[in-house]
Amino acid sequence: MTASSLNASKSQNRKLQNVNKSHKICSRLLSVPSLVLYAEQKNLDDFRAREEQKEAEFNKQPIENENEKENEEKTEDDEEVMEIKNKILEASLAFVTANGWTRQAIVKGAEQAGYPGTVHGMFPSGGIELINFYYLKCNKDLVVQMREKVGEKSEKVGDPKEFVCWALKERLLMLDPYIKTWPQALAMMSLPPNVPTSLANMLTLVDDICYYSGDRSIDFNWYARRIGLATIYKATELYMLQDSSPQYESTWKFLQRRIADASLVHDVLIQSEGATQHLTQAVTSAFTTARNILGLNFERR
Amino acid sequence: MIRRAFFTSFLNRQITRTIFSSKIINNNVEETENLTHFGFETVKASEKADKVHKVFENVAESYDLMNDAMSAGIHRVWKDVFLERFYPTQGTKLLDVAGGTGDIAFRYINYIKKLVKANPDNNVQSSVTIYDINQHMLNVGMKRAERLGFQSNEALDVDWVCGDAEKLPFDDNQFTAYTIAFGIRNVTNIDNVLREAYRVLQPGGRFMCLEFSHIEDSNLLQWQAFHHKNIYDQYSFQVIPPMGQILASQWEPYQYLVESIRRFPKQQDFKKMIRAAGFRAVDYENLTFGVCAIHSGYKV
Repeated sequence: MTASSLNASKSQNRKLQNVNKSHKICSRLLSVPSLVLYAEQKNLDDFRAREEQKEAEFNKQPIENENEKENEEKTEDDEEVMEIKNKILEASLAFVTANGWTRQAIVKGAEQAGYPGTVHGMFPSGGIELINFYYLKCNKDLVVQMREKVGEKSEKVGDPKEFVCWALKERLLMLDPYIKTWPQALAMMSLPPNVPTSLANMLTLVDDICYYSGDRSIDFNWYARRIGLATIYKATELYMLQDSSPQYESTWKFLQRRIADASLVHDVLIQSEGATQHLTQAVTSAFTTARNILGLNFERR
Repeated sequence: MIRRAFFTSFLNRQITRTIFSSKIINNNVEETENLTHFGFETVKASEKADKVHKVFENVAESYDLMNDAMSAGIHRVWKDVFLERFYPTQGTKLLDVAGGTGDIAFRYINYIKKLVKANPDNNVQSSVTIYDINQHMLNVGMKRAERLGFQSNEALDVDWVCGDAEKLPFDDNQFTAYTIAFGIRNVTNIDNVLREAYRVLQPGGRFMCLEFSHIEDSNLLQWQAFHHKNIYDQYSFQVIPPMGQILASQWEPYQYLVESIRRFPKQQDFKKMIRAAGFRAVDYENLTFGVCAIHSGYKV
C-alpha cells in the first residue's frame, strides 16, 4: 500500500470518528438511552441516502455549456478543415525529399492537391505541422500492423522482447524514405515550442507498443517500461541516421543489444525491489508531475 | 498670445463637441434597413458612401503623414506583421481592396521580388490588383509606385482599379488572396463586402483583413488615467482630432476615424460575420493589445 492511500484511509477514519462524535452529542441531548442507538443508526442511514441521491442528481445533470452552439459549429468546421489539411499534408510528403520539412513543401503540396499556395496559412507553424502529421500517420500504421500480428486483445504475445524488437524495427523502417531529411525533422521537434507535442507523440508510440506487447502493468513498471522503450527508440533512431550498412543491418544489431541491456536492468530492478521502493516513489511522483505539466494526463483507454 | 488664446478656445469648443457627440452613441440609435452609421452619427445608407468618399478625398494627400503621426509609426509594424502572416508565395493573385495608397501592395511586391530573386527559374506569374473606391487615393498610390519603382514586370502584374468593394467588377474564382487593410470599417454594408470577397476567391483562397478593433480587457491601455475614461479613449478623442487639425488642417475626418472604430464589430462578432459569409478556418490575432486585429479565413 502506498503512503498516499494510507493517508487517505486514515483521514477517512478520522471523518467517521467525527461523525460518530456529533451523533453522540445529539444523543446526549436527547437523553433517552433506548432511542440513542436507533437514532444514530437512522441518522447515518438518512445521511447516506441523502448523499447518494445528491450524487445521482449530480451525475444526471447535463454539463452546461455556454458556448454549446459555437462549439458545435466549431467541430463541424474542424472536420471540414481537417479533411482539407490532411489532403494537403499528404500531398506535401512527396516534396519533403526535395524541399525538406518546410513551408515550401506544404506550398507545393497544396498546389499539387489543387489549392492555391496561399492556403499554406492554414499551417501557421509551418514545417513542424508536416512532421507531426507524418509522425502520427506512422504511429497509426504501426498500430494497424501490430493489431494484425497479435489480434485485438493481445493478451499473450509469444516473446515480448522479440515483439518489441519487431515493432521498433517496423517503426524505424517507416523513416527510411525520408532518412536524408530526418535529421532536420529531429532538430525541429526538439525546438522548445515543439517539445510538448513531439514528446506526446513519442509517448503515444511507446505506449501503443507496450500495450500490444501484452503489458498490463498498473504499478511503477508501467513508467519504467515506457521510459525505457522511449530511450531505446530515440537511441536507435539516432544510430540509424549515421548508419551506412546495407539495409541498416548495424542498426538492428544495435537495437537488439539495447533491448538485451534493458531486460537485464529490468531483472536487476525486480530482484532488488525492496531497496528501490523509495526511489520508485520519488520517480513516480516526478513523472506524474511532468505529465501534468505537459497536459498528457488524459485517460487513453 | 492672442493667437494662442484663440487656438485654445477653438480646441475647447471642439472638445466639447467631441464629448457631446460621444453621448449620441449611448442613445443606441436603432439601425433600420436604410439607416447606417457614419462615426457616431446615424445617416441614410445611400449617403454614407458619399460621406466616406469626401473624407478620403480630403485626406488623400496627407494620409501617410497622418498615419505615422497618429500611430507613432506603429502602423508600419502592423502592416509588416500582416504581410508576415500572409506570407505570399509566387503565383499569388492578390486583390488588395481599399489599398489606395499602396501600403499593402508595395509590401507584397517586395515579397514577390525577393522570391523571384531567390528562384529565378520559377516562371510563375504573380499579380496584384489595387482596388479603391476613391480615385484620389489611387492617384497618390500610383505616384508613389512610380517614384519607388513598384511597377509591372515580367514576373508581376500591377493593376489599379477604381470601384466599390460591395460590387467587385471581377469574375468568380479569379483571385487566390483578398486583403483589406483599414478599409472594411468604412463600407456601408460589411456583409456584402464579405460575400463579394468570397465570390471572387478561388477555393483555398485566403481572406485577410487588418482593421482597428477593440482593446482587450485588463491591459495598460485600459488604464483610466483621468475623467474615468481609459487612456486609449483619451488619446483617440482628445489627441487625434486636434492632431488632424494641426497637421492636415482637417478635424472632421479624424473625428470620423475614431468614432467609426468604436462602431466596428468586436473581434469575435466580426469573426462570426466572416464565417457566415462562407469562409472556414476563420481566426483572428490581436496586435498591440487589440488596437488592431488581423482576421483570416479561407474559401474551401
